[in-house]
Amino acid sequence: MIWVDTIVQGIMLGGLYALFATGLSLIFGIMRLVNLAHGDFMVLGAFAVLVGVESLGLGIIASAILAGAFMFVLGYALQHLLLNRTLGKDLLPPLLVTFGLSIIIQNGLLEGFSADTQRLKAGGFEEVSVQFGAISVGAMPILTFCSAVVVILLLNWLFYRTETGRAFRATSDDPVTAQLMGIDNNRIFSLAMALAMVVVAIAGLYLGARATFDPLIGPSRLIFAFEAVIIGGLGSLWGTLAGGVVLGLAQAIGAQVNPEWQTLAGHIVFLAVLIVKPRGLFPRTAG
Amino acid sequence: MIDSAKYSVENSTRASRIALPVLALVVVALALAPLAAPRSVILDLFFVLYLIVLAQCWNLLAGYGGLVSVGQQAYVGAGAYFTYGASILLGLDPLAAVVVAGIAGAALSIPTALVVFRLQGAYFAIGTWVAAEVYRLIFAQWKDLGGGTGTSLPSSVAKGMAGVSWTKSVLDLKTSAARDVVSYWFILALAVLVVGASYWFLRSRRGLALSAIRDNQAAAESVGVDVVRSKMAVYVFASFGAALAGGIIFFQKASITPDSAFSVIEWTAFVFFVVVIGGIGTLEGPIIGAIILFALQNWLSDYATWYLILLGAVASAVMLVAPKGIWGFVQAKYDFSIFPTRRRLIGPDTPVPDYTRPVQELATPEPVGIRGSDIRLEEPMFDIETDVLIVGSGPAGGSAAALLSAYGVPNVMIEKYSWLANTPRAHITNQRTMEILRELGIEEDAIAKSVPQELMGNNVFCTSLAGEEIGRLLTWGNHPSRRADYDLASPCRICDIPQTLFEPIVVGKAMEMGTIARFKTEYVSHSQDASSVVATVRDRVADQTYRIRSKYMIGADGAKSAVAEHLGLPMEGRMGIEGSMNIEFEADLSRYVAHRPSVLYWVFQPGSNIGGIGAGVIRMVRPWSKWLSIYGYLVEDGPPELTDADAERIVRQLVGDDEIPIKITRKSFWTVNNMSARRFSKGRVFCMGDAVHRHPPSNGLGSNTSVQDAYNLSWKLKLVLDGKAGESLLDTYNEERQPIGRQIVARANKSIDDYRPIFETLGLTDPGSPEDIKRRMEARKQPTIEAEARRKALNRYIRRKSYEFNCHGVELGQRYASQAVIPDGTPEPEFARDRELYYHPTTWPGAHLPHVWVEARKKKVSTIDLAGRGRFTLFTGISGSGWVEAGARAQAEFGIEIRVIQIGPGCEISDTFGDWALASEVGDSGCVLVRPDCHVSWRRRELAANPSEALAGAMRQILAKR
Repeated sequence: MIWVDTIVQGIMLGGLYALFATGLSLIFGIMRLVNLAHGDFMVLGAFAVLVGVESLGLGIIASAILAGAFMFVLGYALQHLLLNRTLGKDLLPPLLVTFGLSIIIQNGLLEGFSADTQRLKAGGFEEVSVQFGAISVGAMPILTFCSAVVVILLLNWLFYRTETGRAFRATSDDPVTAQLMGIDNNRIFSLAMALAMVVVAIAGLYLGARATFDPLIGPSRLIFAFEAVIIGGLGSLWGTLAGGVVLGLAQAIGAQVNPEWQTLAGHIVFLAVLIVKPRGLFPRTAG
Repeated sequence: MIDSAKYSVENSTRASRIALPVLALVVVALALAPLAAPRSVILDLFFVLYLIVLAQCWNLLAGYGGLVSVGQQAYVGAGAYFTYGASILLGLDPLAAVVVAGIAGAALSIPTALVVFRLQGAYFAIGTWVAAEVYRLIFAQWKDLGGGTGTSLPSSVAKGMAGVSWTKSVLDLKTSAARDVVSYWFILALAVLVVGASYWFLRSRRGLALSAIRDNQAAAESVGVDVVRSKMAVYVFASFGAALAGGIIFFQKASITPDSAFSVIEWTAFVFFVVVIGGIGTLEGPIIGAIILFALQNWLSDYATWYLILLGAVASAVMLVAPKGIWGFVQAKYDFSIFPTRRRLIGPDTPVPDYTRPVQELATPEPVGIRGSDIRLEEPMFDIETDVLIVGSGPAGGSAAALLSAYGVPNVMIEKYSWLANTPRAHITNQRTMEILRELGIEEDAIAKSVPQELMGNNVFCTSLAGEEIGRLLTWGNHPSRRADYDLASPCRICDIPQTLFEPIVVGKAMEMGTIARFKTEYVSHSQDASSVVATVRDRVADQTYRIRSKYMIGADGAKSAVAEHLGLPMEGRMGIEGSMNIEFEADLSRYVAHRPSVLYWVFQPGSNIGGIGAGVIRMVRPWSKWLSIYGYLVEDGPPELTDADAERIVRQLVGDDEIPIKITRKSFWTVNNMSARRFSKGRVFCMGDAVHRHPPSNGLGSNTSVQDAYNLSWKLKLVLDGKAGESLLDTYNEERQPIGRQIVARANKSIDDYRPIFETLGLTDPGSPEDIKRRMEARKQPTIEAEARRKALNRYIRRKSYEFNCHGVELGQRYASQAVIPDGTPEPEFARDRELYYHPTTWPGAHLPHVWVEARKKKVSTIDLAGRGRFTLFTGISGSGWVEAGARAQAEFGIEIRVIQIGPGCEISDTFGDWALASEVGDSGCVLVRPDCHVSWRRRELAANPSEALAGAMRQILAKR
């Protein structure tokens, strides 16, 4: 029974990691940018929600919406003013600049909020659990998982059903031709980053609501996100969800064996996938 | 005769010969520092020195090896933990423990590399980070060393250490201070060792190989460099250095936790910043960066978080603004190197080749860059002055040189290599290019070396040359219905000339007409001001740098253009999308091709996949004995190792014949790119050819477009240099050619996509074993409705490839819109047929002058022969006498040649066939003004009220004289 429980917990945890990973996957998919500050942006998102709740006295939902809007604008501006200039054949500029951003965000948050651990309070909702036979599952993990599914559904709808989505796909497939067809790549990239940052804000919300956070935990969350993306295989958001679930399961099972092995187990599964299937478990088929 | 014994290869510079003894003195002074300096200074120096060690190791990885790791903290941490383990648990002397830890760290790096080397680029970066996290978590399980909370070094360990008690007594210090001093000596020794070893390594054969890989992996591989082994060697070395440093650092710190030992900020982020700020890819950069970081840290020591924020911002800014860092800047400006790693050829008497100045001047010392010391900053010893400097001698640079020389503009062309193209590369030479060669008087030379149109066009799609033919398309205007289109469009014919034969013709003509060409001369950098461009170039024979001053510069230095990069031209698109290998071979294939002569044979086989097309190609280089086969590889995996036997196997597989004698002559690798610049020029520097439009070879547009870029710019440069036109005429180069560049990049990429439906129809794209695929390919031969639909679809998709192979409209139909083109108020004429496939001649301003045959003194000439040649041409008819006078006046006013040509019965030129009457689209009293590049810039339907004023007004605008 304990193993069934572990597996359910692992899958739910996977939902959280999928949320972490979706923004990363989105940005990489559209503009081939690996954002080393991704984890720190999630933490920034969590702090933004925190400011809404604690300083402005808003409800958590209203704060989250406000944080989403803030991150949208921030993402657009960052991409437009800074990150677009780093894109190109050379690998180093985007890596270094996002690494720089990572350091800047971490220390900016330290300066503003100190190194204290924080937590987003969801008014007792985090205590609620749902009983499935002998297993009880927290309402928050279920909500996280459902949110991940909804975010991915919405993104897929956006990609495949709307004009903007078509522009995203066109730019991702062939930026030059897209530009010929009147698409402004810079604007599309900025829009994509803005959109990804909304997802990041959602990830930040759950990051803060499900566990404590502090200004310096971004990099480790980035690693989880990255692992989920790679395990799932590039190119599909559903693959990312699957990757998140595999990672969540690995960590839950590892933790069940020995609590100190949680993260390690995730890393090891990641490395194993890398050795056996370097293109991930569910790569988008070429064609 | 050159007496080779008198030459030697040297890789030191005057600066290095002076700097190295100075450095030795610095090291000695540092070693003696503990005698005089207080403990705090020693600790500061310790910090700087370990940063130098870590930065140098990371610089080797990222700057030289192209391995951008974010995980070197793995080895710092492992080195630290092994040192503690060996000294605390095994009781080893800490010095020995550090060495053991270094070796253990290096050993650990080998299995790690086997995993992380599976990742490329940014993935490699994060993969190394994950690996470091794994080590952190594993070492946190080492309960004897305190597990997750860590441990401290018992003072007994330090006390018992060789050297500590000696230091204590000699310097009269406490144990902890003595430990600092001993650690300091260790790290100093390690810094000297790492810098020295890096220096030695980079100057060694393997180091040379590493630089070669960094500069051009495919080229390095093709001369036999083992890429994986070289990268592995660097990775292990860098890890060894990091592990040794980790051991020493934590021996000094005397306590350890997994988080501090494996800190990504401390051991990687700082190092990243140090190297980038100092100058990546140089040995001096990390040293400078470490000193700067130390200064910053001291200055902002009270504001730790702000210090880090500032550091992140400065490093990001340096990356964006000056990606080569401080030392890169110094090097580019002063050509100064303390640790020279390049090799130079030194001759017996003169240190540099004899160019234009007397020998005494050549003997002046090499420029060095230390101001205020006993070494004087020398101005570079000689400059060359010219009007236009052309960087690169390919189709773009060579044509620019030839055209400028034909127009009488002094020009110097430099070429990095010792001769022109060494592989066939571009070959389709379209009518526009041939027209330019015709103007230059080298059309016949080109035809003599070419394969004519009628042997070019049986484009075959097959399963192998000997195997089944799936379909055939008559290409390059060889279908009777298209042949007329091609013949009507130009006095010249499309043909096939491999680039190896094309370039010598063009460059030969350029040099004959006055171009000064310097081979083995590499562009290094440039700067420009309001009146000139100063380029620093390097003579690669003598490894001597000198400067060329020109009024304008042309960057025609190819897809890896340094000029475009230094100019910061904004690029869009991607490089290295697909990998392709070229295998040149000799074989008599006439038995397979005699009945279907062609330049291209497409072989559809699972796995061949060139350039994303999904097919292998056999291309004729010389009929029918020299060939080139093109085959794909996965670009993520890098160029594969390819022996002659592998190459022969691939060729045999594509040919489908195991018996025929085949001789492999050359192998090379290239990637499909999809990139174009949003601007082609900046200030006085103009880029052309692959420097600004990089695309797959589909449609055969690359070399042709390059030649036409040159044709567009050259006359403008001539007029501006002569003071006959305003400088803003040069802006029209960008306005006119950039849209063309973007169009052809898009067209070539579209042509690749058009293969997909062919493969889908044949069932090649669905997964399955070769047998499955074979069965699916057979499916179209059934007498069923489904198979009939398949046959029809296949026919349709193969015909659609005319957009690649009969794309006459794209080849010839380029139209310009800019200030140098004056609309006449009429709308653009409608395209009666598909505008990509068919060329629509018109005299609508911006379009190319239509070709028709007219007669001059019983000789058939083309209207295109009448125009061009560096002058403006004004075509008019019998009733247009007013234009003759207008032309003469404008010629006098503007000081440029305007040739007025009246066409009609009784005139010098007669419209015998009546074709010009139709093609001119203007009345008998109207006129068509044609620019030196044969594009129409202005026209009038009828005689103007005041023709002189009308023409003068048009010329003023075109020449930007307002």
